[in-house]
Amino acid sequence: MLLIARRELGAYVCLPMGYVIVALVLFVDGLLFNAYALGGEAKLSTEVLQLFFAFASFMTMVSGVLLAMRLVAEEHQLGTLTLLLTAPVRDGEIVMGKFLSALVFFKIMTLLSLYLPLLVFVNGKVALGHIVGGYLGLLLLGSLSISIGLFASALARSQIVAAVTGGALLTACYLLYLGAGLVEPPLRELLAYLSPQRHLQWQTGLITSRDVFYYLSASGLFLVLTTHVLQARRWR
Amino acid sequence: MTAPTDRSATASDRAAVASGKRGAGGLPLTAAYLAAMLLLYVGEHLLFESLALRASLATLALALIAVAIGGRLRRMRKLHHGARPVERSIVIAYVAGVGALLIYALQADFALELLGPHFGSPQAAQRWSAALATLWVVVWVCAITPLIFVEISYAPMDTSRTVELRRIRRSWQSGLVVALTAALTFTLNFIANELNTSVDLSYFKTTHPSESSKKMVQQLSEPLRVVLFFPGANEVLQHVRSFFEDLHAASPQLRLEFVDQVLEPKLAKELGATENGVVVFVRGTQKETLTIGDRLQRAKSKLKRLDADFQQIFLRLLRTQKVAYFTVGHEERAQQQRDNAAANGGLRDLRKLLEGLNYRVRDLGLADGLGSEIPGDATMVLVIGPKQPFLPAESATLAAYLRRGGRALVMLDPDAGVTLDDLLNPFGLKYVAQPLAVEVPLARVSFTQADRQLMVTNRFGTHPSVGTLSRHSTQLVVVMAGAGYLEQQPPASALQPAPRVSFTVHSLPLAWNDANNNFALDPPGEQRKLYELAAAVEITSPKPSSAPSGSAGETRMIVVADSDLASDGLLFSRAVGNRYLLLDAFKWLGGDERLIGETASEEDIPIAHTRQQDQLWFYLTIFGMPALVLGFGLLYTQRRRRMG
Repeated sequence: MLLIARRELGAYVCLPMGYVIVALVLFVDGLLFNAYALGGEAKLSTEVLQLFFAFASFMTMVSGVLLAMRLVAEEHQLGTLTLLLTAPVRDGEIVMGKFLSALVFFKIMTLLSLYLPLLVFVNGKVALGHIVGGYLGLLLLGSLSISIGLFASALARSQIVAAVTGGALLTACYLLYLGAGLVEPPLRELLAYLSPQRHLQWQTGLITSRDVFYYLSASGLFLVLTTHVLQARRWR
Repeated sequence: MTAPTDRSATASDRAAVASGKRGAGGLPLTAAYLAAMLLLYVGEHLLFESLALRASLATLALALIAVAIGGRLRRMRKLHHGARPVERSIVIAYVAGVGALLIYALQADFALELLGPHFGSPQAAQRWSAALATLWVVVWVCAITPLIFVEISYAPMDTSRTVELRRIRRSWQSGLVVALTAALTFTLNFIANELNTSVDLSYFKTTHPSESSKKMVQQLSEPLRVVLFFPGANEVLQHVRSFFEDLHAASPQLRLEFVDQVLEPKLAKELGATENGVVVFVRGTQKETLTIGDRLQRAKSKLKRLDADFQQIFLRLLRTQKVAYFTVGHEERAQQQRDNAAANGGLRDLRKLLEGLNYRVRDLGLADGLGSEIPGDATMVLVIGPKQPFLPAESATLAAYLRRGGRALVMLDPDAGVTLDDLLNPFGLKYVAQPLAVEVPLARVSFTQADRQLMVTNRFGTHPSVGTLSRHSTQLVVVMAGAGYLEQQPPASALQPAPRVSFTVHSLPLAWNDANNNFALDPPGEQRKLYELAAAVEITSPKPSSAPSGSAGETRMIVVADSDLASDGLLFSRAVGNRYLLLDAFKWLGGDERLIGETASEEDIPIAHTRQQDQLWFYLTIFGMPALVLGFGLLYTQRRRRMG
């Protein structure tokens, strides 16, 4: 598993594409931070931080899917998937290895944006805890996005289709919150709970065990699903 | 892995397709079965108000389920014996789904009514209902998911001969694992939701008593009883206790009592504390109440500004109320905004600031004595941004009041053109009604050239009326919008003793007088230099018998070259420095200079930044870091390529 993770991480680090993605994400993060979080009327530090984390969440979901789209679909495109599936490793280990590589790269990318919230220190009152909590939330949301992207990558035969499928799945998950308003309880509570929209309190500096558990378990569920999608090639 | 796929179908497979002998032949039955489930859901959850429709849908659904199960049993008899185990397992899945429906029915309202007497207590019935509500979903998911997986695997298989049971078994296992994982995830999430705990990492600190508050308490000559109504173990009390114990350490005259409102209803009633989370200050027969709350989440905002609230209450209790008069009748700022006090430019916040210092605020026009005699109870007179000149009689009355030891705050605007020479010149001051500007805006509001007339400065004198600002000049700035400037000149009349003028706020040296108001520097008429933005005037003499009752006989006047500084838009929401300028000015004018000092506050403040900072942040955030990452990435990948 670690071997696979290292190999995949090397693919991110050794190719210019990885750096382009990081630079692009930092550029858009900076643009949104400057234009909306800091720009316009003078805002309170907590508001600025909250807005930053809101924009960063959006970028996290986009980058999570982009990072994950190639993980399995590329193997399919290159015809190396059969080779990988016949290697003496279990499907679960393949999935975990690929997931870990994307997660580590995502962590590096997210931590590189740390200078943005730290700028609030210059003129505002910021709690380090709020920043730490916010980044924990970003990492959890990132792991969910990557696991959904990985699931989509396992379903699709090309990277583009994987990205579109992953984006659609993530959007659908997000929009469950709106859909929840249209149905009766207890389905309403269930749909609302399933949406990441319900679990964004960390943007305000409030870390709840419920939200942490949600992200971890939802990521785990998608990883299990991805494993079974790979296994399905053996019984379909 | 070696299992044949569609693409590697054999000739017999193709023949099976042609003759319709495929696992896919059973798909319509499963579709009917799933449609029946959907109909039941629609009936139960969307059309539940119409009993007839609900019953019709349920009947139809049950019929479909019966057809599906019957169809599968028929297939089982007809198909090759090698395919029978698969058909059997599908029937088992159908039946398990029906079992889930039965469990659902057992927790439905009608079943609970029927079984109600057997439960013994409503809680037992609730537990039964909750357990079954979870169980039926788990059973249903565990029945349907493997069914779908098996159908996917089974559909392409040739049922005219022995089917590949190993593939079917793997698909069944896969479906079951997925279903159980999903069920486990939902169950654990449900538990996590019920046992939820949280940690608030956002900015929060309890305010500690400021030096100013400690000085106030040290002046106590008689006991001040502070009764804190909180439950014994309370998270808010911990914060409040440390604040008041610090004050108690400064003066033993401050006496603290910690009481639970529930346990001491008599005392609570006597002091008017209707709930816990209240602090009551008692001095003789006077009482003041400060409501904080006993839940930390709600009390946070109060705890952040506890010091300011304490000072207000302290002044209300310990000091006789003073009176501040706002002149009216000359389109002053206060007069202008009376009908729309909430709008930017009004003086609502300034009035609140005065009331916090235990001042009663009144208007002073010609009819109130502005043209003849300033009321005897006046502690100070405020002239804020008049747009019409004062009558000679009014100027004379104000000047006479000041000479007798009166106190005044005068704030003028260059665009109004009112310079109040009759009032200011006798005290050695001249107001020049030309707006100051800077070439590079120090602050931005309109993002046009008009921002050049926003004056931001942290240059302060050492006068007590700017005591806090001069102590914290690295952190606090004063912001003025379209300020004129002040000049010192020999007093127009020979006052004895002579007035002493101290300039308290200076502009930055890059300011110039924008005489033609075109936002551009046009020398030689316009000069870049350090201009005076505020001045304090004093005449110290023995208190005359005719001195106003509210004064100590010492003339004190503060003149500020801009009245926007005191307006709601700038005073509180943008520049904290403006608030301190006025707060200390009021304390000095009111003879409370011993109390001058900052009020401790942990309230968040708006992030104001200059244009230079804007540019720096912009380039750093948008281009700096991404360019660095990209540059590093390109260098690294090229180096690796060169090294092979």
